[in-house]
Amino acid sequence: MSDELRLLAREEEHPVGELLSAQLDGQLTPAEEAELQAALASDPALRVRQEELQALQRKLEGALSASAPTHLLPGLLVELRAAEASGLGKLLQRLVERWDARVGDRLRKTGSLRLGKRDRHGQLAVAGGLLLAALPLLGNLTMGLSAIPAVGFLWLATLGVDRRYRASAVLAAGALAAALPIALEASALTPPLALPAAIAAIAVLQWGASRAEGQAFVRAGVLTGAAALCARPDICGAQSVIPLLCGAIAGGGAALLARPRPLADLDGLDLADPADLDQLGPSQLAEDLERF
Amino acid sequence: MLSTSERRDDTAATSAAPPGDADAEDRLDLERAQGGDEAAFTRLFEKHSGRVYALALRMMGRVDMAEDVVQETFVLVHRKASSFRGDARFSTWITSIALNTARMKLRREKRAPLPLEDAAVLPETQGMTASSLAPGHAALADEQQLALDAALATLPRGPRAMVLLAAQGHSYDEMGQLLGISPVQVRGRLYRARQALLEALEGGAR
Repeated sequence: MSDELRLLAREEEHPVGELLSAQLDGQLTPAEEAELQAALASDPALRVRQEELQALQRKLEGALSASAPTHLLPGLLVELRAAEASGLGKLLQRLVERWDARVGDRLRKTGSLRLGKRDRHGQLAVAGGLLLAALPLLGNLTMGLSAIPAVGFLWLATLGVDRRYRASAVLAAGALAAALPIALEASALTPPLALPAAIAAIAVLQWGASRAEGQAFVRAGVLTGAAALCARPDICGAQSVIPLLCGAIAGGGAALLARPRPLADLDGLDLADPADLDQLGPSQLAEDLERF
Repeated sequence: MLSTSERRDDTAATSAAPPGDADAEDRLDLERAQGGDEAAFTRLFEKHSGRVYALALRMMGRVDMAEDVVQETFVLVHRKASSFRGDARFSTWITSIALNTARMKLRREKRAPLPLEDAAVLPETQGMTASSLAPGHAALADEQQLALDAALATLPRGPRAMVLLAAQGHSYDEMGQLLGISPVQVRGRLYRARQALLEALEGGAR
């Protein structure tokens, strides 16, 4: 009987080959290891098979030791940023990056952006938000004082907001901070109503800014603030509420329409969750294994 | 058993996690990447993209598709970071994403699954020559390597994935999770897959 036939005959009665394979993976129990060593000691063909399997494993490890395809990284980072922003978000991001390239570096060097020191865009966002929040101070001292809590909200809004949205979020919060005194002065909105409304708006902003859907709120906030600032010549009039509402509706609608297109059909599925994977149909890999 | 790349990972302590605890470092980096820290994301990419790429290349057989899998996998890692429950190693989680991304990609390409008997000449490996391989990979593309690739291509994708995952150092439990079978089944089928691969290599050498 040839060595090969003897090996095959032996495997019929005992999965000794399986033990060899499991040994490669360090998955043998002590009893199995002892059993295998005894078999190896008495069977030269088995030792040959062991060496073949070890050589195969080394080849496979070599085949899988490709270096990281780092040439993909820059494009990937750009794609990640772009996927998260769309429409006005992209424009805003581009403006912020351009501003950062020209002015941000200088400001950072002078240490004037301490609040947002966690990262570059956070610094820019805080700076932008603070500038917007400070605008009322230029006009009227009373209104400026009323903006102080709004500046506090602005600071809160920088916490926990995803960095990619932080610029938008803080600019929006700043715009709201600027709009708050306007709302307080407007006859249509009395302070008891305006303050909770502003708090709720910023809370929604914070909640939503770390999600794709939240961009709608962020942009609505930005447009709301912008509309309010445009209405600044007659800020005390009730008519300033109209551009506020129009801005919110237009901003929210535009942002919802311009939601990022999913990069893959896998959007919305938790790929690490077998239950979600079932939605993709039976696993081809598992089917292959069943047939094997 | 750790593969070569994982042993490398263990030495790459770059953050506040205890030195040598590569998985804790990965989790920390994932958390930071989720918060927008591009440096942390870059570290994850540099540590794991090589493994993902090599696996995808052997599963897909085409450099362009393997690169797509790497990109889509890391986009999904970034977007799905919050769904990482931490009950598996990060490397297992990212491998599951890569495998399923590859599967979806193959489905989109409308490639019919190849039964074992028809898979001897896989079109997907025909273009896998030294010149078509990505930078850093060409050095490996010697005759032996191409023979291994051709032998791998004769395996259906399930068993092929299994031998590749084992070579990447995944445990039987992890492979069971990744492939939807029990660890006991992994053991038996992995042996049969290795046997089939050896036979294909021997057949190719003759």
